Amino acid sequence: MSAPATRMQRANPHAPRSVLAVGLLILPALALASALVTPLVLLVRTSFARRDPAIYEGTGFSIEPYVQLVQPLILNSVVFSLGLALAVASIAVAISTPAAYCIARLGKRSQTAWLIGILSTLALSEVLIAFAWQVLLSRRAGISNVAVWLGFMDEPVSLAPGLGAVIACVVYFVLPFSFMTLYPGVSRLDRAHMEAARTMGAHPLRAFVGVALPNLRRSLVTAFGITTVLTLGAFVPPLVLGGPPNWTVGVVITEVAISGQNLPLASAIAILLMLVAIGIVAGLGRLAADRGRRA
Amino acid sequence: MSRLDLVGVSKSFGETRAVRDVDLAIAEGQFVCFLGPSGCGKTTLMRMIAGLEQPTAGQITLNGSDITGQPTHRRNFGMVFQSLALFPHLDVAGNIAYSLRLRGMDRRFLDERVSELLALVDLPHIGDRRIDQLSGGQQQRVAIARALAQEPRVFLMDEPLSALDAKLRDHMQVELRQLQRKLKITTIFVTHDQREAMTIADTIVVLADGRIQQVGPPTEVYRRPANRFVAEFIGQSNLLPARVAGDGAIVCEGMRLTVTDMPAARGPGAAVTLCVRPEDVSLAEADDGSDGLVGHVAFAREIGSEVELHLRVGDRRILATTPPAHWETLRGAKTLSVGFDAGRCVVLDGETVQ
Repeated sequence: MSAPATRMQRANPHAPRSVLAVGLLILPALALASALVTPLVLLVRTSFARRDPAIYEGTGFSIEPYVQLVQPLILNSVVFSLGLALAVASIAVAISTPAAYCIARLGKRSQTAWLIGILSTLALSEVLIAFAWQVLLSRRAGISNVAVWLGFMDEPVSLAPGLGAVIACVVYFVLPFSFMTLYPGVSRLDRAHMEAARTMGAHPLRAFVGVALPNLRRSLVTAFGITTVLTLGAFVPPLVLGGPPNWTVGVVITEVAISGQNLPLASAIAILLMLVAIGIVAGLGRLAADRGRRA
Repeated sequence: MSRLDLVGVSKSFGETRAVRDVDLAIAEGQFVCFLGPSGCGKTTLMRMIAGLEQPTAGQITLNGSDITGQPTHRRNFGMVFQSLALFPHLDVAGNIAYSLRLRGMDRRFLDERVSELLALVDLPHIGDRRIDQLSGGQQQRVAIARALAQEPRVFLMDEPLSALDAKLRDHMQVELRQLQRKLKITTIFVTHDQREAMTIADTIVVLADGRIQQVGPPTEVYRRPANRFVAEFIGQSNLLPARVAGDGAIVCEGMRLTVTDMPAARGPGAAVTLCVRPEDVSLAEADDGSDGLVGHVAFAREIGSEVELHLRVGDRRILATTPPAHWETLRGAKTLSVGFDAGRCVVLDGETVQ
């Protein structure tokens, strides 16, 4: 349903007005240009080069790298990455939403403890996390030994490599991002809304789904977007914990660039990946902006 | 219609005892006001009735059956929250229909019921508006309609009018009262505004420190306050030290008063406090030979319908109100003789601490 015409369009109150403000913006603009735009331009340039055995970046101008994109290895990895990203984002948001909701309702002290604990996992590098999961899922030292000890399993098994191992590890990696994106919105939720729903006959769980979640829509969409895009670029976990069927675009790019010595094609894959990411973010942005109403 | 009984209800939050041993019976169809200063436990008491807080001790029964442990969503008690708590993701009709949808009401009846409720609160044709497009007063009415949609067994309101300006608040008080009479629904209203409580309630429950101070109709609570707290909290009053004389009369500031309303076991010589409402202070020109006290006007405040006089009698301050016409005749007098209407004075236990 479209927003009513009476909705006011306000100018951005933070828009710069003075020459000074514009002048001050030049510095960050330059920094942004050198740090972000330059590599991007180089990437685009390389993706339109012809492969040259003598020169790694390739030479001349050609659309051949883009034609080469249409091959099973690359397209499958894009589809797999997309599927993995959506699965991981769904799991991460599904875990972190109720978690954030519960933690936001704790006392000040335990809230702080939880937040510090969750934030501290951000200090761990993707590589470290992937190898930790490899140990955790291994036959000799992994969690299956605990299951055996508890009597759930007869003998320890190796849970990696495999899709499950990749998903578990990436979920762990993106969880704090999802949590921190959701947390402000969740802690701003009006407690009285849930109580009002309960007085009107809603079971607490139903009140959460029917009242808290719709009011969290923006936060949920943002968290989903961030975790999707983060997972889309996942590189180490699929390499360490997955076999060739679990290779993401990132792994394929490395293969093409280093083993295949084809930087133009690798660049073209990177551009494709970027376009997919932009598409996802744009789609989610639309979803967040549209104010759904139910009469 | 529902009858609500509270027996020995208490609530502690850690060391803080918010509600202490409350016994209260609310009859069918009554409009009851919980009145008290902030932090007196009135909201906690209402939240326990709604099931949003569990009492630490005591029992709450509805029509004789124990509901103390019953979860909120099974009680069918409509509640209007102080913040109103309207759902911003739903439009007006969506908000009002929320409880009906939960009960699986058919779409056709649903629309009908929503328009019926909107008409009830005098807001027809706004069902498709967003909540943030409504004024404060309109939001107020929508919140009331939403809480009434489920035909609640008990209707609870937690200071719902506190966000409105004075004029709109007065108007809503009258409307709420009329609405409640029409629906004959047992209603509890929490407020810290004694004027609001006086105008709206059948019964006022005065709370302080988590304890009930007095329960009674507004006029009774005003005319016969049970203790100093009630006397001071409800309306204005002069609290004067007095003593019981041998013949049972009260001696105050040298005046003998035959007070009709005496606490039972008050023997001669006992120190008591005399509560005199400002309108029960009679004033006359001093030289007309009456035997009252003599004082002078320190400050006069004309507030339209009456004149508020701050009198000095010896080293004591006494507040009196009088009609403007009477004040005109007294305005010239240097000293006034001050008397109390003995029939309307109330004797309270204990010495006056000043």
